[in-house]
Amino acid sequence: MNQKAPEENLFVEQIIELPFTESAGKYISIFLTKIRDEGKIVADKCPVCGRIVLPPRIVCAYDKVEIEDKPENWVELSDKGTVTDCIGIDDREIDAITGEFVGTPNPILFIRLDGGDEWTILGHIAEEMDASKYPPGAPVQAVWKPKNERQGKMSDIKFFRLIKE
Amino acid sequence: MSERIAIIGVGQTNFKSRRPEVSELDMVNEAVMAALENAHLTIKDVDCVVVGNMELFEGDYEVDMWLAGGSGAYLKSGFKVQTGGSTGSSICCSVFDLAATGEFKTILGIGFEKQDEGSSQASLRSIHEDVFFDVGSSGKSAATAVQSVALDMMRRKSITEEQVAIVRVKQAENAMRNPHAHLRKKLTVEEVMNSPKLAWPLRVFHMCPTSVGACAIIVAPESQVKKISHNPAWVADWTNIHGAIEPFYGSITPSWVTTPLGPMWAWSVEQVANRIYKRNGITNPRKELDVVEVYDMATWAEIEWWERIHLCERNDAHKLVEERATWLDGDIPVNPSGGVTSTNAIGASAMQRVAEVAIQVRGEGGERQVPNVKVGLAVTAGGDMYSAGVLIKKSL
Amino acid sequence: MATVKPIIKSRTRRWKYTRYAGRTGSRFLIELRDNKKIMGTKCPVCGKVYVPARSLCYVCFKLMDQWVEVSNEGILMSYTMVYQSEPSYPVKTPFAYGIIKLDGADTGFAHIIGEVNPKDLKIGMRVKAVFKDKRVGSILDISYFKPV
Repeated sequence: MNQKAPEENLFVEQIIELPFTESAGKYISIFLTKIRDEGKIVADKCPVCGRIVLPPRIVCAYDKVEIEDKPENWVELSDKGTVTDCIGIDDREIDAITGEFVGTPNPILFIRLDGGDEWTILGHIAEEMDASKYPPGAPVQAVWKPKNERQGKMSDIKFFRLIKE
Repeated sequence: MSERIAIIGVGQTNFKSRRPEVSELDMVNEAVMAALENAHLTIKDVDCVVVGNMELFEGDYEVDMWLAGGSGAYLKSGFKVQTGGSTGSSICCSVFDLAATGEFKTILGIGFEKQDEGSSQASLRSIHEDVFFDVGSSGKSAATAVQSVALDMMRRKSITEEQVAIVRVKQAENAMRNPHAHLRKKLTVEEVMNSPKLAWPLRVFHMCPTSVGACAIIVAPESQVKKISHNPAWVADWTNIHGAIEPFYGSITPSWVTTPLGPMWAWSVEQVANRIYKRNGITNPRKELDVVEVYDMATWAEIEWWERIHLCERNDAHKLVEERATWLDGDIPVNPSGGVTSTNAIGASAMQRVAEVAIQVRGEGGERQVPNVKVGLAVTAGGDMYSAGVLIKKSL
Repeated sequence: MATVKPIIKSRTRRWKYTRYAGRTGSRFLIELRDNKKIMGTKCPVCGKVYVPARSLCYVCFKLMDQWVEVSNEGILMSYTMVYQSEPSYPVKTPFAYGIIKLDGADTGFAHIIGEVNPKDLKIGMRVKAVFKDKRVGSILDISYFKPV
């Protein structure tokens, strides 16, 4: 506890460990399975407003209708697109217990994937550390992990790379 | 049958970085005692207590029950409300809804944070580290969210970096007049512009601190106000809104400037303001409001909110700086309290926006009192993309 | 779409917390640690003596700053035997928890009953605190209460 001091304020420290298990859900399982097994990114489409929803959801939250699991409601997107925003990380999160950096230092990239509409935006990371290389409009391409290394997670795509002219 | 309602008491602790000499219960009780004293009431006059803080920050399960002895909730109704950064204003909305039923004599709302005990990572990383969308979790989430807003504002030529520093100095000046505020040091424009980068153009001095403290308000329905209060601040309207469908996914949640509607925090703030203006016949907020408190998690956010609540046209925030309109002596003072940039005990922060407007309407602002306040608006925003707004008047 | 196998992932979250005792709590624990004394606080309105010491009488809603030393002996108000092990328990199962009201206190508090055969536990029996030699400022500076 504390060293003796004129006005001593006692305290206790505690580390809590909680194991969690999460289900991806119906459509996200489909989304991640396609990423893992086929190297493809899929979205679904609202039958009422036509929005292309990424990641795919079981309802359109705006129209409040179910997006049924029918072939016509699924859309295969390209793994190429254009940058809408790039956010450089100057100050990285540090784990309070281990003292290690969390995640990777790569800038966060927002990509409008080809085949989608204005709401079809994927959040991922950029290949290079310099955020200014990815201004809005820059063309980028996903770089995938080899199939045998893919696990059904977003990191199955390593990062997005600038398409050079 | 619903009744009109008023805030009849406000209490706050003096906010600091650490308070190792008090337990959480002790600290919450300080704010409660201050509010009771301010209202000239005892705990016997309170029928219901609603309490809240940031989820997981102090590791308290059932925080309302944990604190029942010190919050005054023993043998009374009430519950906890937790909605992230906007918790304080959600507590207010909940208390207002309950008061309007006329079923309770008075209701006590308490927002607090004792972050020196806590793990802010428990909460924030819970949202931002997704087990499936497991990329991009490196940045400090609040900073990256504000960074995207800041980049957007600079692209639109709404504000310059120097003007942001000037506004930060304004906030410091206001905080120095507020005995409850946390950061009460004079700042210069140079110091602000040269402070270390957090996530350019966001700098350390733009960002809110981590504070420890509690805020409490006492609210009563009109039938009680007539009997027990000489100085009510009437709550004319209140609303809250979930601004987006979902925390978008995993790690990249609030850094969302790229939606077709712009930054979703900002969008929800605008919707809340529009709703309140429409319901109350306000068409020229800059003229019709006397004071405003906004939830400025960073100086850039305060400025963005000026545009979103229509104190000026889109892209014209710089005019409010050039005209010093939002200064204490300007025509539409914003954040006379010093704002969240000066004091941020998260669970209390959104409530302090409402409390400060009530203080101003009641004429209890001391050195930071804005003259002749008849109408004030408090607007809050928190993760994720959730906003509340409260309109307070001297008379209805 | 053909049905796919549900994707399920697990992880363990680890969070660190600190809890401050506050002035009142600290003084109570320091008296245990430094002086082997058990202290309570007394409400100026109802006169109730709270042990362990609290800062506020929650019934009268008044701050208490009058400190009272209570005996380290008292009566066992209730007890239970614990057989199922939990990581948070201070001692190995089986053991007895009791509610003890010390002489001079108006409230009981939970602690371990030791040096006793479970068959001999009786409501109303007198028990006495056994302090540890090495104390750190914790309620466990008292190892247990034993029958007198």
